[in-house]
Amino acid sequence: MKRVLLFSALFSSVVFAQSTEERIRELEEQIRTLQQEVQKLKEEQRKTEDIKQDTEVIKEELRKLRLEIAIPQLKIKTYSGLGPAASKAMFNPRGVSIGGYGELTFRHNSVNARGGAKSIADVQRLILYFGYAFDEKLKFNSELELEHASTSGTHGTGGGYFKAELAFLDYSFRPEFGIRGGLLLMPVGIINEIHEPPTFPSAERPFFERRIMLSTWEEMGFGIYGTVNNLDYRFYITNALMVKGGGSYNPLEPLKTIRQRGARAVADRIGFTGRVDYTLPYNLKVGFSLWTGDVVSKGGSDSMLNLRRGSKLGSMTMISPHLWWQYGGWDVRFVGAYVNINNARKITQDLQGTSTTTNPIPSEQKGFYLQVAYDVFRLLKIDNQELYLFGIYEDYDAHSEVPQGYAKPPGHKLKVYNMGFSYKPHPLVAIKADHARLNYRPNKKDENEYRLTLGFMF
Amino acid sequence: MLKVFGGLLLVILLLSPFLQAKQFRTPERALAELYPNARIEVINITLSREQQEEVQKLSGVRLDTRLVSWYLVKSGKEMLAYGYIDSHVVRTKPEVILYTITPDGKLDVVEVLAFLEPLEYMPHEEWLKIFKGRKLAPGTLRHKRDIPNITGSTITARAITDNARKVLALWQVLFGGRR
Repeated sequence: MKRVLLFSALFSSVVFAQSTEERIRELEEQIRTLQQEVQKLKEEQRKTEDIKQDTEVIKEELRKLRLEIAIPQLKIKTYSGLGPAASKAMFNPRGVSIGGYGELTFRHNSVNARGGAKSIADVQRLILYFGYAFDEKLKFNSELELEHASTSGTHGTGGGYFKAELAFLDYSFRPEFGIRGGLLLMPVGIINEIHEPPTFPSAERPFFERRIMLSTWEEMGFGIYGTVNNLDYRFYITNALMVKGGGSYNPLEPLKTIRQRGARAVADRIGFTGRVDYTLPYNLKVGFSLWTGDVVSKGGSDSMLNLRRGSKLGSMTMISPHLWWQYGGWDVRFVGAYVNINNARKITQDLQGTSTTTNPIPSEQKGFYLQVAYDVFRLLKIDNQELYLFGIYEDYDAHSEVPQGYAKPPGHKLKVYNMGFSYKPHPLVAIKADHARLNYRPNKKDENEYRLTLGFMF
Repeated sequence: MLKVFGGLLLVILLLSPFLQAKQFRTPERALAELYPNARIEVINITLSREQQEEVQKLSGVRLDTRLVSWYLVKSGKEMLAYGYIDSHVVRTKPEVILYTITPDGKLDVVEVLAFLEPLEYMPHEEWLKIFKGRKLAPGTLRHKRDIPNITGSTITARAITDNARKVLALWQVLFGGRR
């Protein structure tokens, strides 16, 4: 009996031990299952949270989109190397885009505004931008310009011309890299690329930008552009420059006679141009631009040296540092330049003949201008309008060096003191008035200019 | 000549308030001007079908979206106003109206943010002030009965009045305790 009892006790303890282990195993299994369930729930919760966030983002985007359609906001943006109105075609995702600008001026000069008259009223420029976006990356852009209201010499004191100032195809692979080719604005200085009247405060473009930086200056070429972080760049290969000949030479802006401007430009030789801008905090842009290339003869009856068209005469190199700060109502600009013309003697001889009594092409030019402008309506808390008061100081020498044996022309040094205002009742419209004091040295009478401009872009 | 330029500058300064080109303001900017120093929060709400139907029933105006955006105008923790932007076609072109509602459910400001129809059809400010203090209640917001017509701009007046009821009904359903 004792044996039976002992055996049954042992058996029951073994069974009990076995069932405990099984129970533990079962519980462990349950815990694992529960953990998996919890993990699944967490994942689902995360997914739900993600979906909720996505939905909120989509809702917010829809709100913005509805507002953008219902209340279109004016956005003034510039695309690499183009003014705001010229950039329209580049931001257009598909199809035709039309823009333009106008510059209607009144100018009174104390000495001579034109041919003896002291005051001239002029439709200086009427511009049509015409572009087409083949797709989001491939675009065509152009600028067609009518200068001085007419192309007829019998209208007023003589009209101007109708020409293409810009005509290129552009392919943007990505913001960091794009290519373009055609008639391109040379990326030098500030005004040559961004020259729509409401974008600068003076009634006319600064003298330095026109006479030294050769604005508006365009040539046939191709090249690359892009923005890498804070760095903007543009580099183009272009046709060379050519001495125009035909007796049209103004020693106050000597190098304007060597632009070709895309009109059956002689391309036997080439030029290279480029620009780099670095944007620092507070929208302070600093950079430099460069143009270097050959100067060739127009040949035939326009070559006083009887050269073949396209024969190399010399070369020109322009190096220009710049600074541009637009922030909090300020518009501060500095542009400097050093220009070297190699073999200026031969270029002068091809243009003027071999006599050394003529006005020469300079072998060197240098100078700068500084602009400080401020929107005083900010002080008066007036929104939606701007009133810039500005001062510009220019100091340059168009013939700092000339070929040996030649005399520097009268008035080759110029200091300009320019003050005035630009009133913008709308961001795209500017009514500008200013006074410019032109101090020529040596042997040229100083001038006072009073100018009024109605400018607009769209 | 300097005197001429000085005179021109003076004329521009005097004329600048009248020359001001009309530009569309964003809701955030308009609200910031109406409630200086306030904080503006945006909430986008998806209405249920029941809520959509309730808004339509309360206002008698069709609500053609279930996604609505409200601008909460706050100062600290205090709610100053609720803002709603209503965009609708008047004749063939849209107008965008900002309605603000006080925390006790009364219309505060009704303002035109954008008006793409010819400007002669645009309501004048004095007429828009009639809406101030009106609630969603019978006999308060009926065109030509409670709200006078604008001669020559009947469609504009009707659109703004009807949509005022719609916006108040939306507020009622979402924030007025009937959610």
